[in-house]
Amino acid sequence: MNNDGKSGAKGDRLKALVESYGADPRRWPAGEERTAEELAREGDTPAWLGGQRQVDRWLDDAEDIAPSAALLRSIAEIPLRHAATVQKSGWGWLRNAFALAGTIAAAAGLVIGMSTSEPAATSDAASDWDDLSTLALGMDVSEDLAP
Amino acid sequence: MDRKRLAIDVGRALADLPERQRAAITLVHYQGLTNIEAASVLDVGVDALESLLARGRRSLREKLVQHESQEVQGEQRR
Repeated sequence: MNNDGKSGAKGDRLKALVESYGADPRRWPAGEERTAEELAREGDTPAWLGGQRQVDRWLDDAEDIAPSAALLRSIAEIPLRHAATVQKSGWGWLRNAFALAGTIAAAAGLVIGMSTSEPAATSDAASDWDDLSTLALGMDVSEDLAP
Repeated sequence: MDRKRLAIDVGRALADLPERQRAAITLVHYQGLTNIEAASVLDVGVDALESLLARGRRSLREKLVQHESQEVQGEQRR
């Protein structure tokens, strides 16, 4: 028996799930329905569960107002190799929007630059495309986008 | 504590977490990634992800409970 009064593997799993994902079973991994039923059977809210519900409320309250710049930076720092996975989630549109805006700005800047400046050497123009596409998308797609 | 202030305090407490704990909470709680997806992003197993989440949440709770009690003490002094 552990020190919160719950015993056995089921109790341990319930506590591990709540401590990791919070007290709302909708946030738990799939396949934990039995453990969710166990949570529903908890009578008087034990202290450990009340504490975790408080953490959920804090996190939710922060979410209601706006993700902080620090959170947005964390999202932006997710490696691009996982971009397809991340785009399934709620903030995936933000990455798409930044990438699209960056691409448009880069293309507009290049068009203006080409029309108002002396012709650049071909290797410089290619280098610009490399830099711009890397800045806008975080990866080099210059071969696909280059005029 | 009003909600805007609370959100700022939670944001600060999150920012103070070790990077991987913060990333785990961000991915699972705010981005809604599944445990498998989040573990993949962090290049860890699901057990390690759950450990990061649990340590992050525990640390957040300690920081915010401490902060809240300091706020209450401050209000009582005024």
